[in-house]
Amino acid sequence: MKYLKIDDQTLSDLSIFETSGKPSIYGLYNKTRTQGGAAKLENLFRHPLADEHSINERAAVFEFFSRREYIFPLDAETVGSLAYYMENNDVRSQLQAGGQSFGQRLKDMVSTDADFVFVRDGVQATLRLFYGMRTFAGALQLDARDTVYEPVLAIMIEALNRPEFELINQLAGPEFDIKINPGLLAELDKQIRFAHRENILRLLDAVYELDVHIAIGQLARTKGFHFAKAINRESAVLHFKKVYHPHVEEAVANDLYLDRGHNILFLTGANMAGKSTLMRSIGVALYVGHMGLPVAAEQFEFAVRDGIYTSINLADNLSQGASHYYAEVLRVKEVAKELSGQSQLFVIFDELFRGTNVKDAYDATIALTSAFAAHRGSQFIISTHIMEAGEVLQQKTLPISYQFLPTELRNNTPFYNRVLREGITADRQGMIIIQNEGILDMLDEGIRKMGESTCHS
Amino acid sequence: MPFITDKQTLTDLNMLGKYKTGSIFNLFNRVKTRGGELLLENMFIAPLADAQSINERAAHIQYLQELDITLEINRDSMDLASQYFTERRPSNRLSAVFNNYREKMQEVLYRSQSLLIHQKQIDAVQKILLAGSLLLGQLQKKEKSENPCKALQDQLGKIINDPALKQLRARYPFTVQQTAQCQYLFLNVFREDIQRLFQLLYEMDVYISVAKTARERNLVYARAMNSNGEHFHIEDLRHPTLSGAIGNSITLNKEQNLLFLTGANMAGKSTWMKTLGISFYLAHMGFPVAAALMNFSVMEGIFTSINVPDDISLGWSHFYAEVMRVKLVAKEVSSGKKLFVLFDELFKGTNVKDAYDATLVVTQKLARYTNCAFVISTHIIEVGEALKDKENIQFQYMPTLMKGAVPQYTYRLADGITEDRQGMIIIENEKILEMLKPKTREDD
Repeated sequence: MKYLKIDDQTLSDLSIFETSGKPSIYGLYNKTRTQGGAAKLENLFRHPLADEHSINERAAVFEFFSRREYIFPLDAETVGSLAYYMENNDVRSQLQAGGQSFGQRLKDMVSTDADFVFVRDGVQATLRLFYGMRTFAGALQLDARDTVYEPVLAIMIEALNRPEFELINQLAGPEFDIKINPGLLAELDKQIRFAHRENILRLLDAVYELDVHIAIGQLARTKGFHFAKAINRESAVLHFKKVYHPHVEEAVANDLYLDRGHNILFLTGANMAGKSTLMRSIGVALYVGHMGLPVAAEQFEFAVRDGIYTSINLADNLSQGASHYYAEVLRVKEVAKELSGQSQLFVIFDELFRGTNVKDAYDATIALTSAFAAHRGSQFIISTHIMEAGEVLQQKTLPISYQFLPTELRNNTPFYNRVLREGITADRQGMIIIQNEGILDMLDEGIRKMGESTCHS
Repeated sequence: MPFITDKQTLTDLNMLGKYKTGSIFNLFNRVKTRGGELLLENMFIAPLADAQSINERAAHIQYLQELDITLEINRDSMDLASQYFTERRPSNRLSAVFNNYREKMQEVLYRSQSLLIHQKQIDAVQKILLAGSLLLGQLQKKEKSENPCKALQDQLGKIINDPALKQLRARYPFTVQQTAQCQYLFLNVFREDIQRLFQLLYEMDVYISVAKTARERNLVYARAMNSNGEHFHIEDLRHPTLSGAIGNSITLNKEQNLLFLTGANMAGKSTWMKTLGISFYLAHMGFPVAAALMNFSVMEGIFTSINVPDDISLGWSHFYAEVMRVKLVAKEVSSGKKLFVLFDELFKGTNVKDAYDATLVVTQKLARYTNCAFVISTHIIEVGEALKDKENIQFQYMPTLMKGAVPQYTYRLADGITEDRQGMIIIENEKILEMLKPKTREDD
């Protein structure tokens, strides 16, 4: 299977996984009930796919679960104790049938032996799991008829009803604790942990997967997320309708369309206008879309990418002695290398070359944006403070879409509506704020007063 | 009038903070007593505001450094001894005797610890007296004809050499009678004197600790002058905590009161500005600085804006925060105060046009306040071009040399405005644009 190319920088820019207590995308999506389910989901997050068929297939399964409310049939404790039980496959811990001496029995009456309790709990959990899964699978059969989930379910049902599980299936019932005599317990222990170990583990894996399916389905329903559609990579289309950032409360949604004719979004706007958030929300949706998971957008179609590269908030750590600017250049170089190898990428550069003087940043922005434009198969979002660079780029005929996030001044306080507009920002609220704060007048006044006092003295 | 500064300035310069690595407080904090540490902290919080007291304190420290005085004092003894003076004052000798016999009884009856504790505290007081007398001995033995510490030394001597204290023969472990005698002497007769002695020792502790740092780091003492039109003149000034720091010189006066600083990001602009701020602050405390020479006229305060936190997640516009900071400074400056103001990368949070206009106009307006000294750094070198004809502005930059593809920094100030364009050079060296050139088999 082909996977999407990503790196640590992209993961941290998009806050895919938790770092230093900030809310993560994985955390948002992880509503699984079991630890195994969470691990499975994490694995999906670590390895987004890069071919349209597997993405769409996976999305279809999740979509099936989002249509109706399903409740995961098992409690976390049952699954947890089975997993714990299965972990120990040391033959010495196997329960021995018969041959219990009188002394042993007497000892059992006084206090239960820990090994015995371990096996008993594990076996009981297995029985509960079989019963729960059988009931759930049976109920699901009708819903799953003629859907993508039907074959998956069929495999699961088959796995549950294997002939070697006959004894287990006979015993499994709705009671929480099923009465089993010590001889039978020893037999079940042997079957579950040793004889049919592989099949039980496979079943456990299917349980984890079901957990992920149900959790994601529920998330899509409750959060109102929609499923993305992966299309052919050659089309180079990125089409969002009402995309927003899932972590931002009352987030404003935006539309975006990029394709071969317009493969660069040149984004301008004031600092607080929401440039970074918008870029993050697009990056996150695309990332999550590549896993077949539902995204925070009303509609989303994307050409499958080979990789996602971002450079948002590149660590500006002066104390480390590493030049911020140099770090940025190396990041750009990395992307350029990928591009020259005919990869089709999605690239975000936020405030390109913030770490250098304006002249250089201006020249570099123009040169690189023009060079990126030639790579029609890849898409770029480039944001900058240097709007003059945009004006120069506009003179050339390049496949660039110019948009900005506006700032309005209301009673001297800047107000941001966070809705994209066509063009390059011409907002000059910076000077207006300075004037409104009366700083310049204050300084003039001080000089005037001082002049007076020296005249008088 | 107190020296004005604010929290952000102290953070920018990393002045305070016992538990912060690299703080200037820690650089000088070699004190041996808790009281000394408190005193040192107070000196950091409240720099001096007149030339005489600044020069006086500097002279004290310098004198102790020249004499190479050490203070042999045990931190725990000092703690114990100072605790003893929280005890009540015995009204007369008889009540002291009575008290001690009562405590002895309590010890016998139910193993009360109070007598033992008091005896240990008395022992500690005696150790401190001994330490004081050793210090005095050193001071007297090495004394020079010109002694700025004379007053301190005399006060110390008066207490230490008092016959009643000097002839006290009681040694630990004490009898009950001796305990009572000491208690009466320490807590009644000499109570104020001994407490005064402690204060003197704290003061000496701080001076000796600062002198030690000064000797190790080769620091010099700045000379405070009454205003004569020169704000400061510093030669070969280095950052005090950076090892191997490179020195630079600066002179700002009424004719040239603004330094306009340019240079690449890593070239050392911020470090130089911090160095200036720290040294200015230390000089106003009477503390030594890492320079070859420093003369300054006393000013009324310092404000810096270096590394304004660029925290977008706070939801508070970075630009707005900067504007408010400038407003605060403008208010202080326009009220006629004599201030030293350092602005690093002013208005970096806005677009270039705004930043250009704002930096230019604010720099121009500030520069007219010849009573104040300013250092302003920026990325927008075009502002410098526009300011070039202003006579009261100095232009300097931190140069960058390209060694192959790697930029190298000399950290030595040069006159003028930087013309370094290593930004594009690096991009060219990394061959990024060539990489991005469409190949023959390009997909459009």
